[in-house]
Amino acid sequence: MWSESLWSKTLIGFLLGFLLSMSLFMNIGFIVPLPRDVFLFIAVIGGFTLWSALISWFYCVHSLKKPALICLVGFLVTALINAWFYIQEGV
Amino acid sequence: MKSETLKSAINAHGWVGLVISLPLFIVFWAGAISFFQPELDQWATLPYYNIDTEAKQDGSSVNYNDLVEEQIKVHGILPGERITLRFPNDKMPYLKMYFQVPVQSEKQPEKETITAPPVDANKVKKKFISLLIDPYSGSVFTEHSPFDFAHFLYELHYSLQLPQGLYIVGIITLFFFVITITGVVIQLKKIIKNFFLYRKDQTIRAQMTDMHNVVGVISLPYAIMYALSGVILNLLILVQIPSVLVLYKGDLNGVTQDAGFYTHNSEASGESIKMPNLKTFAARLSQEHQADITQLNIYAYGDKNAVLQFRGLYNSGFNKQFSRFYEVSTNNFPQNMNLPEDNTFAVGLQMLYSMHFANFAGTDMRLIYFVLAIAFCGMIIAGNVLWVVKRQKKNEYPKTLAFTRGATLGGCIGVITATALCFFLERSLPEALSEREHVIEYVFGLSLLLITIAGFFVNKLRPFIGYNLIVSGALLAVTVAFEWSVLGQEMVLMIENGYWMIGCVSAGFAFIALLLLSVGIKTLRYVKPEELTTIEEIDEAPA
Repeated sequence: MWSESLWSKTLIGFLLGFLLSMSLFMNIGFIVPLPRDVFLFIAVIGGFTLWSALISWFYCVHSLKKPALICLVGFLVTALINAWFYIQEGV
Repeated sequence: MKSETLKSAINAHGWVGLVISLPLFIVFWAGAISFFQPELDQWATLPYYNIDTEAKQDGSSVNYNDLVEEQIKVHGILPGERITLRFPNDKMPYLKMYFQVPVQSEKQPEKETITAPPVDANKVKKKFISLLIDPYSGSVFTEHSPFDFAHFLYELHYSLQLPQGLYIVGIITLFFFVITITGVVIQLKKIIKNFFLYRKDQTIRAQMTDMHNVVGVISLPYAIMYALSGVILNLLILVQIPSVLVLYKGDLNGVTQDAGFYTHNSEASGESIKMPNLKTFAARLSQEHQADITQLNIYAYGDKNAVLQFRGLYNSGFNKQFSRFYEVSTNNFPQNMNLPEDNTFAVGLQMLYSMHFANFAGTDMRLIYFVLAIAFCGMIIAGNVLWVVKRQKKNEYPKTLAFTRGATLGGCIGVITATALCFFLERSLPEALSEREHVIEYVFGLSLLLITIAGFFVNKLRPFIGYNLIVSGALLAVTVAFEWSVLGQEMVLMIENGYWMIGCVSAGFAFIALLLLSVGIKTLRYVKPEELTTIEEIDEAPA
């Protein structure tokens, strides 16, 4: 089944992992009042670590449906938060 | 932990590890050698370019201003161009100078002057020039890089010498991080119990498994540091794009400034200006800031827009970088160019990079890093052997197995042999040989390809690995024998004059040659009676 193959886990894990980790750390950038240099450092370290951890999660499950669904929902929620802040700051 | 999780993790760890094994091996192998790049450069260059001339004995030293002005005239360097001077130090006794020149200007070099009308430097086709200079007399030894193999290996380390190689290596490093995590998941239950488990009296497969696990577990902090710093070095730009677009609304300068970096865009005005004495200026800055200045970037030399960037290391702190931009026309260090030095991002990244390059300590630390990196290479080969042997025993997918064996084991072992061959050529080919550095690079690529192809057709893993190691050891031994028999006098003279690094590298090669020969011979001979059946079964299995 495609949801159990390593190719699909790799591609979907790579893409969704990237989107969620970037989006989540952008949330932190918008919400948490950190100095910009501190935030950038945390985002780089945390972003890559989370990205790798998410791909690993895809690999550690039998079917990718559960992690894919959680990552997709997580990405949509965090992306909406980003969009809201983006529009707010633009006004 | 669920058995299903463990099974999935083992499956993914094996396959992902196998797919990235060859590039990862090359990255670790070339990276391990690159820890000693300055020493290898010195070893290759010193016998050919003698810097112990009369000028050194007289106590003279080159005037940097005169040198730069002369090279601008000789090469027709465009007025707004950047010129880099790398000062001599204990690791590299030569003065180095780098710049770009327009390709067409080579025909009429004398017509260019330092106050020529500004030309849009971005629209001109250019080539890169690297000069090796005697720091005492100022005479230029060479205008190309005939001894470039160490640098070739360094480029191989971070880009595999491929187009867009930086990003390819970045993604491979990301998956290296992933297999490190899946490896921890697999070993989690046994991580304490089997911490030092090595069953030397068991089968080869058990030994390989133990070697893979022991190296993996012991070097876990090192692996995490390398995976993280490596992926940041290669993919930082990629992940900054979303931040720039969303958080900074496309303001690239804003994010660069917040990150604590300043990149100077050089542009000539066409008006000339008197330049300060570069050597005196560097010495004064070094004394004022208690820093060791190693490099000077000169933007638009002799022009009203001239800017000097002095770079180096502070004498205190954890490998703390020193950088000062100086604007010649205003005689000051502008604030917009010299950003605060306590920027968390810049300092944190520099710390990570120092840990990656092991340049925060002495040779002993680099040796530890070197051993760990080589242990990683061993771990990769052990992992591949495990994968191949497991499937070969079951006689699964013979064609896939042959391909895997060639592309992974053949390639990994081929890198070792190709490196040894190229070190021999680096030492033995005449200095004046046209395109010398490229000849060596082609030989590296070709020999790697041939050994990889041989790996497709070889059924017997043990002799294949053993003979390659023996050949590599023999090549290094011949390199040492050649250099002492042909360049012995020059080498002795250099060592007597204080350039003892050349002898250390030679001794290092001799030691590694012996090590490779002994491991190679043991690999061929070491077969325990109880293993004979297993090995023969493995060896005789159809490819």
